[in-house]
Amino acid sequence: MESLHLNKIDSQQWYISILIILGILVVVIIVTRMDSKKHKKAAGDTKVYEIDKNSSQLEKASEGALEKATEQMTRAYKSNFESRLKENMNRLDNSFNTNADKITNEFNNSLTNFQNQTQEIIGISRNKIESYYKDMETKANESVALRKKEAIEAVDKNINKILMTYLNNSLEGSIDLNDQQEYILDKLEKNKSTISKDINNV
Amino acid sequence: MSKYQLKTLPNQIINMSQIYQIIGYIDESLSSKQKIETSKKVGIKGYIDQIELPEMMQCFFSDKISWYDLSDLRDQLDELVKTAPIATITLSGIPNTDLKMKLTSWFRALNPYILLEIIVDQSIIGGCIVKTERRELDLSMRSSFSSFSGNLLEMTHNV
Repeated sequence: MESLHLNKIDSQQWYISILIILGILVVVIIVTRMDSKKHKKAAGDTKVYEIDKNSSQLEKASEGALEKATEQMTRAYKSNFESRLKENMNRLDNSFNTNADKITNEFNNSLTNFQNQTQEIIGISRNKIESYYKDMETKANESVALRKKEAIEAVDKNINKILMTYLNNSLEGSIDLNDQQEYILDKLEKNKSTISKDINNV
Repeated sequence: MSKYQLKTLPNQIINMSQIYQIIGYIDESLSSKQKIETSKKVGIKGYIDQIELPEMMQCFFSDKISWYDLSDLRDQLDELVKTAPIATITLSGIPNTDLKMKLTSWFRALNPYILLEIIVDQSIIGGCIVKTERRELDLSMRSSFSSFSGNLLEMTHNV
């Protein structure tokens, strides 16, 4: 029993001592922490200052570096950009030249074809027109010649008819055949050689 | 007995129809020869003075003729019908005998056996047209006037 009782006391004490110890630890911790806070604050200020300083330096340094880096990057980028731009421009230029040549060739071919076709059409049209006018001229000349011939023939015929009618009417019967003896024999005499050859079949 | 020779056609005989008439008469005479000989007792020489020759026949003979002469003439006229040249003369009117004779004479001087056919065409106005087998020779006034009108036309065409 005693042992049990002893045990029970021991455990309570133990427990209290632990609590005390824990309390002490808490106090210590709190104090420490407060102290550390003080220290920390002081150190922090210093550090802040240093940090600020460093940061200022860093900032300055970084600014320079950044500027340099930026400049380098810019230069690199610019260089790269320029080279790519140049490359693209060249490519574009080549492509344009190639296409331009093609387009120019196509255009020239089309233009040549168009000109040829136009000239051909103009030539055909001109030939047709010239041929048409030539035909018209020939027909007109033929028509004029025909009309002229007809007119001349009509005049010839009519004049002969008029003259003969007039002469027949005016002279017929008025010239006595016996009065023509001399005239007829004279005419025969003038053609004697011809008539002689004809009737003698010479 | 010499054979009768027709040296030239008499100027009274102008055209072919007269020749045919003569041939007809001769044929008729020859067919009646026997009758004449029998009835009239024609002499040996055979003169046919017993019969009166038609006017157109008289020009062939200047003297008495025998039946043989007539027969010879018939043969020669027969030949003439086949071979005689013919000239057609166109006049503006009917010619009188004088003109006919002159024309015949003129042509017979060129060929003693030529026969003429005279036709009338008033449209020739004057002169004559001589047509032979070979050609037609226009000696008419119409031809002269046509030439004149032709020249006149030529002048008008050139104007």
